[in-house]
Amino acid sequence: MKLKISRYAPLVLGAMVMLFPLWWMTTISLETAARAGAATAGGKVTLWPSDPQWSNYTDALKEFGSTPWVGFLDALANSIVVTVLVVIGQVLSCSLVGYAFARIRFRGSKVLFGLMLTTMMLPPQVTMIPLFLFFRSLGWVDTLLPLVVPAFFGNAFYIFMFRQFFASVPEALIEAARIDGCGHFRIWWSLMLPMCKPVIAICAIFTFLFTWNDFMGPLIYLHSEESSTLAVALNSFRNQYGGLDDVHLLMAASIVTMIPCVLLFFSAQKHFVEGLGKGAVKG
Amino acid sequence: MAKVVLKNVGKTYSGNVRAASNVNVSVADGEFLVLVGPSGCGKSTTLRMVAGLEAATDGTIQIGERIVNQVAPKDRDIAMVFQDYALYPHMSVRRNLAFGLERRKTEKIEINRRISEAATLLGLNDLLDRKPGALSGGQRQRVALGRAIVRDPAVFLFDEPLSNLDARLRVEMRAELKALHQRLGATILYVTHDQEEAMTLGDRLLVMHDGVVQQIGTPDEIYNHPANRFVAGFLGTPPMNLFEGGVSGLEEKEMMTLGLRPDAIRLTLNMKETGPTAVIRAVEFLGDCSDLHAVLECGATVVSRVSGKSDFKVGDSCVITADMNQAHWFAD
Ligand SMILES: Nc1ncnc2c1ncn2[C@@H]1O[C@H](COP(=O)(O)OP(=O)(O)O)[C@@H](O)[C@H]1O
Ligand SMILES: [Mg+2]
Repeated sequence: MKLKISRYAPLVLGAMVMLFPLWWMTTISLETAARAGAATAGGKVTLWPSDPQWSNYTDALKEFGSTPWVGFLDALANSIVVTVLVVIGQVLSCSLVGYAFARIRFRGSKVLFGLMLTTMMLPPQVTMIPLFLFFRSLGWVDTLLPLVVPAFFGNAFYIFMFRQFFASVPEALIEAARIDGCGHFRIWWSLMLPMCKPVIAICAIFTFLFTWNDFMGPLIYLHSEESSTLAVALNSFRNQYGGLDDVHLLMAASIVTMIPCVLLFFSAQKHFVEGLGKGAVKG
Repeated sequence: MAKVVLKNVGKTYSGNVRAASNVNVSVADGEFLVLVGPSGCGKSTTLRMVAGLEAATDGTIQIGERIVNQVAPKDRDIAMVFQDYALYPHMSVRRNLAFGLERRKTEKIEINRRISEAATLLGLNDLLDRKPGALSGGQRQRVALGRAIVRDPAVFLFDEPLSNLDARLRVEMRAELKALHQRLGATILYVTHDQEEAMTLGDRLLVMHDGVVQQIGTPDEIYNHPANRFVAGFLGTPPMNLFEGGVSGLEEKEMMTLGLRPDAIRLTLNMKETGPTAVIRAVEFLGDCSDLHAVLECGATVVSRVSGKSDFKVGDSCVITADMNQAHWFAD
């Protein structure tokens, strides 16, 4: 019993520290405008809303853009479209390329693999401007394409992860499939993908979280209100209300935006922990 | 069903590893040929060249009436059973069996008919909806066998299919394989390093060593008329006793190797017998027979097999006599 307390006490303490901002955010999202403003301006911490304003949430979603409700729904739809397409693109392209690096012997494969890994060292800020110019020359600015299309061209880290997994699949399995009449694409699709569900889960979950919360990409490429995603729309929200005057609505909108990530985390917790462990071992 | 003919087949892996040279063999339609030899001698390489999983660097491979060197594995009309079974882990047994047929656009009804036929033949009916992970080693091997059978190929290729099974199951499966071969009348190329398995299964054996074919023949021929020292020493447990040296009294057989199987050698405690003397070093009782290991004065070891339990004890001095009618002579 003592052992349990000594083990759980630090965990509970840590969790409280980590969860505090979320709790405070929720509290403020339920305050009146005046009290929320005072709390954030004066730094006075209230831990419980004295008079919960549930209407803050409907107000927040309604006031999201310049047209009531439409702004929110537009942004939500854009976020969903971008995130779903990026997740699909990332999983398909990374697993396909990972398969090729793991299982097809071709001239220069080692060099190409090394080259690909070096792109991981490249900070995204370095490629930001050239990429913007490139996509502008294609006429893709203010469309969702610059956010979605690159995902179909893979990502070094996930390719590496898939490659590690595919390299560990016994050769005989692939040979059996070859004798059964499969080419590379069929082996990838019918054999490798179903076998690497844990890797797919990690790739999909992290890509989802990153894309859903991505601020920089949409900010650079999406200029009009109709094309923006939730993460960017939140930002314009604040400007529109002049500084932090309506911080309670911003908090409410932020919490709504966060819901999918929280749900995803809880439903995929098992994969998260398992997958991170796996990556650590296979490295 | 079809014959398989290898002509001067050779394989050099990258890095100049010569895994097989000049393999010449003709496997008749419906024949069970066992490729046997120690680990690393090139058996798998040879089999995989027939499968098309490795390209032959020399020679021609013929299956049926067709030269298949340039034909993809899936079009060679072969089925292969692997040592580690190589079952698709995410598919049920039924899907594992169906997969190859589906890829070949076989009709649904025909697929189901073949699966139920093979499942009945191999006793898999209760396992069809399980995943390979939920099967024992023996059951997995049966599924791997079933996957080959449903394809109804011209040639079956086996690469050490029984190596992962425990000894009892291995003997059981051996008998089953033999029965299956008779029933299907299939042409089979079978790789093993286990000489006992080779002897019991094969219509003919192909003995390999260091990538070179040493002898091809029926088990009887190989056992009773080994072509060289390697074959003589490789087949039979305990192995044949080999004595090198100049042989007196036989002018034309100077500097030869004399080979005597353990059951052709007698040890006697009667020191008046003529013959070399030796000291017993080990006595192994095997139930129906005993193996006696004796050391000659020159330091060489001789193994003698006698039926039943032996009275010899470690340390006994004895005289060695041999049944020279059973002697083998090797010039190499
Ligand atoms: N893919 C390969 N690349 C290079 N050398 C190989 C390869 N496969 C096998 N070898 C070599 O070829 C020789 C024969 O191998 P193998 O045919 O697998 O032997 P066996 O099946 O009789 O044990 C061995 O020396 C082995 O190291
Ligand atoms: Mg082998």
